[in-house]
Amino acid sequence: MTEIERLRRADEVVQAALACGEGEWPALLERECGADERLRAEVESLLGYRERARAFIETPAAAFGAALFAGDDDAEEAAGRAVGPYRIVRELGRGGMGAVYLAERSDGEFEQRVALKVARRSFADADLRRRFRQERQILASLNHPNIARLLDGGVSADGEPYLVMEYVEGERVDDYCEARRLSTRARLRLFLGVCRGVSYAHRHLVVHRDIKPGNILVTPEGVPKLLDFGIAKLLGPAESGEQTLAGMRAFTPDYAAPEQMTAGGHITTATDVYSLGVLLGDLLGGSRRGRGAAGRRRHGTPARTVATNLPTDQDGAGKGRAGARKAADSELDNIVAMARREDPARRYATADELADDVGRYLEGRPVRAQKDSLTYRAGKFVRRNRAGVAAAALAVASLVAGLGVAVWQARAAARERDRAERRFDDVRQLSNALLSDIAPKIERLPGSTHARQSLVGQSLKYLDSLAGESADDRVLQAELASAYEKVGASQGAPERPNLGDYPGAVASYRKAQSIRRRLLELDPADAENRRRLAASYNDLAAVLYWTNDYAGALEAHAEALRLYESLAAERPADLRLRLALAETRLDLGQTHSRNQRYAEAFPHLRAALASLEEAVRAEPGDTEARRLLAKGHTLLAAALSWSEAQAEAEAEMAKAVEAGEALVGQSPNDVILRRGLWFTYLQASSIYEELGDAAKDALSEEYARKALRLVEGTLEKDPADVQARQNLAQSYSKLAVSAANRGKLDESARYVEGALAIFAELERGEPNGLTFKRNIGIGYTRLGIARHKQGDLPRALEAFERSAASFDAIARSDAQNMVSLRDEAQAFKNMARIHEEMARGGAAAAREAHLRAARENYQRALDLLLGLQSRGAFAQVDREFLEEMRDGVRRLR
Amino acid sequence: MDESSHDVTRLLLEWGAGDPAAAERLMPLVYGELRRLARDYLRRERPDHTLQPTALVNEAFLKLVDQRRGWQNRHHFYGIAAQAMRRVLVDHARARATEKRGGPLQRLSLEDVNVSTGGRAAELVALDEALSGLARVFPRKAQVVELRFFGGLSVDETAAVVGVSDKTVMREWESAKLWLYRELDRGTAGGGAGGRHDGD
Repeated sequence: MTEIERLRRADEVVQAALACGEGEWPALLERECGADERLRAEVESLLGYRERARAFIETPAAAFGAALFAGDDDAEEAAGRAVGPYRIVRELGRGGMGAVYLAERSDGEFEQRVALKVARRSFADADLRRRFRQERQILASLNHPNIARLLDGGVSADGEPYLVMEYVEGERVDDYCEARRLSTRARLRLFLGVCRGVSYAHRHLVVHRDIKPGNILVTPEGVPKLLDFGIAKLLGPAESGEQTLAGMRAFTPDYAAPEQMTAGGHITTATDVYSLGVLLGDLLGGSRRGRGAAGRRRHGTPARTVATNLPTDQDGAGKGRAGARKAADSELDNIVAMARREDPARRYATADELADDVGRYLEGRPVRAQKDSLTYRAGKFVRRNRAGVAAAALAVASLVAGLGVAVWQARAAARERDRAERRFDDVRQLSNALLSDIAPKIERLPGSTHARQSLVGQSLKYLDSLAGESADDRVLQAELASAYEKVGASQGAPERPNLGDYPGAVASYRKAQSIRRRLLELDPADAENRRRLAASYNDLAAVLYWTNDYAGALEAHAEALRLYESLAAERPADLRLRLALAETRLDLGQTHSRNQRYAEAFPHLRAALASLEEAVRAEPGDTEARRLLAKGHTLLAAALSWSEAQAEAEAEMAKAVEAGEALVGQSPNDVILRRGLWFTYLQASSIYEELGDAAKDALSEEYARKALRLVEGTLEKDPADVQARQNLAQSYSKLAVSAANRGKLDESARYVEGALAIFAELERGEPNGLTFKRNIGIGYTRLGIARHKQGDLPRALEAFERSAASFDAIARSDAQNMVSLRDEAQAFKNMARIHEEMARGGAAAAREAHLRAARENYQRALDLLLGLQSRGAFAQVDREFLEEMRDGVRRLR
Repeated sequence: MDESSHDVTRLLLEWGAGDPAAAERLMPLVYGELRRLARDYLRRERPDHTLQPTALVNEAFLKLVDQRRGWQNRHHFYGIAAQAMRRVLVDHARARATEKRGGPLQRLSLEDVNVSTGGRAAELVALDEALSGLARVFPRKAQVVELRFFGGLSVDETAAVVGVSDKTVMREWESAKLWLYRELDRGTAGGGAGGRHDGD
């Protein structure tokens, strides 16, 4: 045998080995290699790489390519480059809009160091260049000591617009304050300088639009200088309000005024006043910057204790001054709150007025800012809720509002302390009763959505008030964190009846986490708190996953993983902890899989499985461990199948089915175990789907049927189980797919209709429940796909149209529902494709019409995706989707 | 539709009709376009973004091939495009790896290469060499890897280009991975009995 022949022969043996289980390898090698030791050595050597090569080159090279090419724009390569008459010295920073470089004039005319801001090329459209020229004139005329001057600007030889600004050698204003532990008064004086710059610009009719610490540098002489005046507008969308890609987020969300966050919001000088308010709050909040993001979202909530942890100018002053200081702090709080009012008309009218009030405070004169009065707030509450508030909810609301205000006022006055604390406890008890006793009881009542909504709303309101009251009471803080977690669950925990308010749920979980993080700092050893924090991160991840925010979900899971890992390391004997850790890994794996990142999913899934297998070996009777093991096998099987390792997927799925069936056989009435097995069956049906193999198609259908029978059994036991009814419909949906794959189009359609009927019925019991509407949309999508497969284009089109209509209904009833907007885009994409296909046959006139319709649908999908992107709700995995739609529009133009 | 689109379309048709020289002449055109597109994409995106090879290849197809000439079969084009993609990426990686070290390539351990861009570049170059070695013994395996890894094609697209079943593609792919991984591993270990030599 020549060497080449031996290599080819070895390859044949390797391929045979890869097709069977590792257990069969010894026999196979014996049979195929016989006495040829060199052949056997070659085969063994190759097979020895199997585990390690699993994820190897599974990610296309272009993924590396991105990093390689991106390096072209690296700072190192930028150095020395000429942009207009300037030569780049080094990179100073880089953001979404482009990069900022330190540069100097290169034509030797005169020596000057400047900050050179180069916009990314995609922004360099003709419109942008035009606006650049216009605005440059105005911006260049701004000349004020607190504003970094715009010196020049133009378009480089490469077509990139650039701006040249005064180079300020300074520190970010917040870092500056922190590093020097500046006193409140010193911070306020610095802030006044910022206000002067803003006010000057406003008089020249220029709005900054993006005031934030990163845009304010303080020079070594202590002079604050605002950078990037008007740049946000320059780089933002055209004034006509048309949506452009370049228009995305030309501001920083935390600092943006409410009107900046909404479409059609009018940007005025009041917008800058708002951002100045946020800035002031942050500067005074000192090192406790973390509270900003969460607290800021509720615009009406004053940042209550902003100034209390800063050093005073009168260090060592007598304790008798404490009361006076508290009153003064509340004045500052009022100033911040007034600048940050939601309604622009109720803020300070100008930056000057804001500065004036800060000046009054510094001089010890009474400030103009007032807290919102109780009557104003009550009136506003009634106005806002006039339509839907039940009388009872209103009664609760006024009770709570009354108590809350009483607490606030009473706490400030020492002589009423006892009474205040009694009331404080009342609020606390009421809060616990509402969340722990009342909310769960009405959770499953059909039609209770409105009641739950106002309950959650009220609870949040005084939770926020309590949170500000009691920063030093650890027990209460822990209670508050739990309460926020419960509210979060009611707002949007997937898999449970929820209000579909996912952004609200995320905010609540984050509040809980920030409280728990603080508790963790106070007592790093508190295992209970760490455990709950980890669980809270997992809950948050579930919401984020549900809303297609995979990056966020992964991040939250990773936090949970870290916490559980350290806890488990401390208590190796704690089985519950190990299971929680394994479940977190399973979730991580599932999220990666859903995001099509199988290479990243596998290590987590395999690690979880290994530890679960060990747990089951140690505690064979532990149902939870066995349940998770079955779930793990299921997820791994699905991921393997998606990464085209079908044989392994099937082996894994067999284990999942066996484990799940054993569990249900043992405890046939356990709803959770039944649901677990149902999930396994459903996934099993999926992995055998669409392999182009009739026997597998039959298996797929069989598993879908098993899923159906199982859930039917669950329903016999408890017909009111809403979750099971939903699962029933999902089983029908799955059967519809497998039936369609087997060519049974009519049967498939019947199943979809069955599913749709159940969803419609569920929907009647839950008029606000968006989940079912979404399922309906998905049902029609499936029907469309099945009909498309059958070549029935007109009826496929009809199904996709219906799916688009249901997603549209969700989007309209819930403006915050980003998932359904994406679903709708997907439906438009499907419609476009069908139209394109329909255009291939047929007469010229019909062809034209289909092509036009295809283009329109691509455009609609594209618009939706761009809209999502501009609202910051765009999953990165959809980049390709978006480009595909763009291509579609371009192709059919 | 510019001048080159006619060339590309014509060359594709000639190549499809069995003229192997057409492929050679196609390459620089496709290479240039892909390289331009890749840079263009990446300029628009953040550096941590992943290039979508299929999106690039399709965009190149739309730009280069005259759609009115009824050229509907993209699969022919995919083959060329994957080859061009390989050259674009490897050329770039080679330049970059050299520049990072200021000298000839050094082998890194497989664990290291995921850490830095320079490491990735080196890995890509090493992989390219290993792939050329593989092509000498198993041309079809090498083609499958080229299409999937460099062209970003799915299993069924690859099967359509190569003209074999999905199953065969998967089998070739899995065994090729073992082979290539071993080559790279041996390279890093500094020895190796593989058939490939540096600097050929």
